[in-house]
Amino acid sequence: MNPFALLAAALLAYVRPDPAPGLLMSKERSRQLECAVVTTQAAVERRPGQLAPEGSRGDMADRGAVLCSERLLRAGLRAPRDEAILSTLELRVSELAATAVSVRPDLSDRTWRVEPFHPSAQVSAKIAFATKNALMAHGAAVSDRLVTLAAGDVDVITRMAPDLAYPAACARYAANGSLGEGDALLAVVLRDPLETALHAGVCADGRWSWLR
Amino acid sequence: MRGGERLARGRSTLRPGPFVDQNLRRRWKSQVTLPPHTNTGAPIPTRLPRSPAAALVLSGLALGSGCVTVYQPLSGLQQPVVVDPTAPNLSDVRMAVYCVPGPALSRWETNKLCQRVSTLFEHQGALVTTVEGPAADGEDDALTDDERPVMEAPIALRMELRSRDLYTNNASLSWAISLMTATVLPAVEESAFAVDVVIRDGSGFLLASESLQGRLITRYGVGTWAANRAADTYWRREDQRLFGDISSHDLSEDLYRQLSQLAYNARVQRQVLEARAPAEARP
Amino acid sequence: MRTLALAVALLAGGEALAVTPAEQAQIAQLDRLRAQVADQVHLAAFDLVDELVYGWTADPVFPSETQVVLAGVTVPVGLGTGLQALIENHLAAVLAENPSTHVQLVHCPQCTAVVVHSGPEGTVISRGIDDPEVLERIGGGGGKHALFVDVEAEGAWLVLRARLTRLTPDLPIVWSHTLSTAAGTPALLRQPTHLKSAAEARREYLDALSGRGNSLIPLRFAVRSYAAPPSWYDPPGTPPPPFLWLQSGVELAPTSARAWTASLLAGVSYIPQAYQGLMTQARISRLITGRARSLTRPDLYVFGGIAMMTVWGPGTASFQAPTPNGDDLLTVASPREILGTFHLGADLRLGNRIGISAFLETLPALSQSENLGEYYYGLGISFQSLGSEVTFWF
Repeated sequence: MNPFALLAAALLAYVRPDPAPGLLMSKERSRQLECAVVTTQAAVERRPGQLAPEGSRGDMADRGAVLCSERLLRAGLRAPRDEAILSTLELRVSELAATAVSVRPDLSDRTWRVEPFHPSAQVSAKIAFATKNALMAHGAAVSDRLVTLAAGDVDVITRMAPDLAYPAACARYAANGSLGEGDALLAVVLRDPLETALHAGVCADGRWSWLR
Repeated sequence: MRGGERLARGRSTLRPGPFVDQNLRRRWKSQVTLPPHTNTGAPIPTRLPRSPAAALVLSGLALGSGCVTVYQPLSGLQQPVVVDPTAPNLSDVRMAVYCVPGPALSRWETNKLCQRVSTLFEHQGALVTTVEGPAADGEDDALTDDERPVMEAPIALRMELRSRDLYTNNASLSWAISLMTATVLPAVEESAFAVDVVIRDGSGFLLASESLQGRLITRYGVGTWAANRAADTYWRREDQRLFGDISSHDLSEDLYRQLSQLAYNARVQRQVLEARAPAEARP
Repeated sequence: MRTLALAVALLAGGEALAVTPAEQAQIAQLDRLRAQVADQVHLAAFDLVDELVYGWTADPVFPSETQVVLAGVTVPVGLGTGLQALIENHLAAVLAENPSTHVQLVHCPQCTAVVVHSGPEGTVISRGIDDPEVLERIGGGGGKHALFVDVEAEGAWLVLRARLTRLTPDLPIVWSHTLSTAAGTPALLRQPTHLKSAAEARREYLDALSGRGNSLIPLRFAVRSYAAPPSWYDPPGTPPPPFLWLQSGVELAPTSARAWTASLLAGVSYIPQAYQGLMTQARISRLITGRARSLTRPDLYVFGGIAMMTVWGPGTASFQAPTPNGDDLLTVASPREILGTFHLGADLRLGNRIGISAFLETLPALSQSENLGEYYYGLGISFQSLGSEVTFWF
């Protein structure tokens, strides 16, 4: 960067909008931003034209950049728990799918079914969709077929403690033929209403095991 | 006491000026106040620069012109949180908090941070032991006899806190411009930091981890002081104000909320692992 | 009957669900915010749909024309169904324009409707698509595939997931894909008949960014106003009237980034009964908001230049030296003056198509004129004129 540009950049620091709270940026808006500290080269590639690239002989001063993207949904539009899960859904389900495929190589020839356990039906559908795609991306065979329980089973299982309920449901899936010998079920579970993490369990041949 | 492990030095993107180097590099933890329900509103004083001449110049300018420090969460710190940090979320959970000193955290600061995080979790019902140094692989072996709690219950959660500097800016040019304009245009100093949190169970199994990143910007000068003072007085809502210890409170609140949520998630994760263990033990 | 009982139960609970006016206002505010967000993200969602369909044209899932039921489009939690309809329509339109995808959207009311099937194993209530055996019995599935599309807001990213499921009893997923775009990325708005990959679209964007060539023809309208002399001058001076100029010429840049530009313009001014004039002007500009001009935000230039102008007519007498008095202004019919000027200013441009600028100008030969005051004095220079311009580049 030449001296003129350096001086211009220093002066522009006063008029350019800074993502930090200040005269032109409210705290509320600033908190809507997801930011990362990156190198100048990465910033130039990701935001062409917005940052002067490094000169061929380097810059007079080392520079860095803070790249910010505004969250699509403002705080308050979704429940905090849903927002916490949905805002990092791709990362979470990719990890779960990778764990399922790597921890249970014995199920590699099975067809996977996915069942989410989350209080919100809408969020459950999102989790199931994303998990199926993540399993497919890891090379697994996946089916859209649902696993079902009889009304009586549901009545009994929903009264059980979580540590017993999931194995019991798994046994019933196998017993009623809903989950066949060639199938495996990946359950994505929110175990506690106050947590923001998702857990995974696998049901195959009527046996349940927690993955994480 | 082990504390010799050096932190991987964060990328310093700018050559620090003589009087902003150490000062800003350590500002973030000075902004961490006590947990919400014990908050006295008094942050730890910011460490003075090492060069006496620089300290004199900086102090003179700061006192003469006034400054405003603002905090901006970069990533992780502004994530939505479900737990209430003042509720008994961790009743009777035995916990060890390991604060690792290094280039970005001195031993004194490590102690302060550990004490405050310990207070936070004690108010949530946990039995907390603080340790200066990294967590060891074996259970309890990081604790000395004095630190080992009277209770014989095993440690359920081991939280390790480390900090890194992401960058510190070179403010010398902005100081020059500020001085040329009689501080009407502000001198701007900024730094970004990361707090790496790792939570394991007693046997060292990873339960949760997160990197919380934030940025602190201090603007010196009569112009910025007057404009922000007027904004705070006349049109900013109370929760949008910037003067006083607001940045300390905001950073503390974000940090404690995230640590509380992470600890809670780790607690549930541990329950899942405990449920898994007997099932795996079956033939 | 069970449905009726449920409906009655819901109605009975209505009282308990009543909201206060304050809550109603809050709900209305949230709805407004949701509508705003939906408005902002729908172009990005369209882009993702375009990219999905482009992927099918480049690498079709099916070797031949295949019937596909659009089984479901879901939108980000909290954004309502208006966005869903927009995405459905856009997807259908783009697929219709691109038959090379081999995806033929078909209507299948039995597939999306809720069907109730009673058999020896029990009663099952489900969508037709979720129970292909029932669907087959009522004659809906038959060799078709179902397309599911989901769009979700994940932090600053908009993520589109799609999967194709064969409507056979096992419901195998035959294809799935996940695409995402950052919220801040400008929508590419590709034409449905000429889709491009994201990489091609980026290359096009960068090409556009690097400009339309190194020379442009500006057309500029400028107004120069002259500072009135101080009121304590004796005799009181008379400032020249504001001058309107129409200028054109050429603007050159050494690179397509247009960080430095130089322009040479000729201008004319004509106000009947007042003044006429001709001028030439040279100017050098420097971009200060980056090293290359931007397509997505305004560019700010600073500039300096010189001008030579000749003006004549009754309105130009104030430029005379020595300073004319009021009688001179009335009696001299057509004075002609030649002026040399220097100027400094700033120019704000949008896409190098339109721009607005302001500058301060000094007339050294008239620094002692009693008909001119000054707008600004700095660096030992008195700036007697203030100008503003609107420019169009061709």
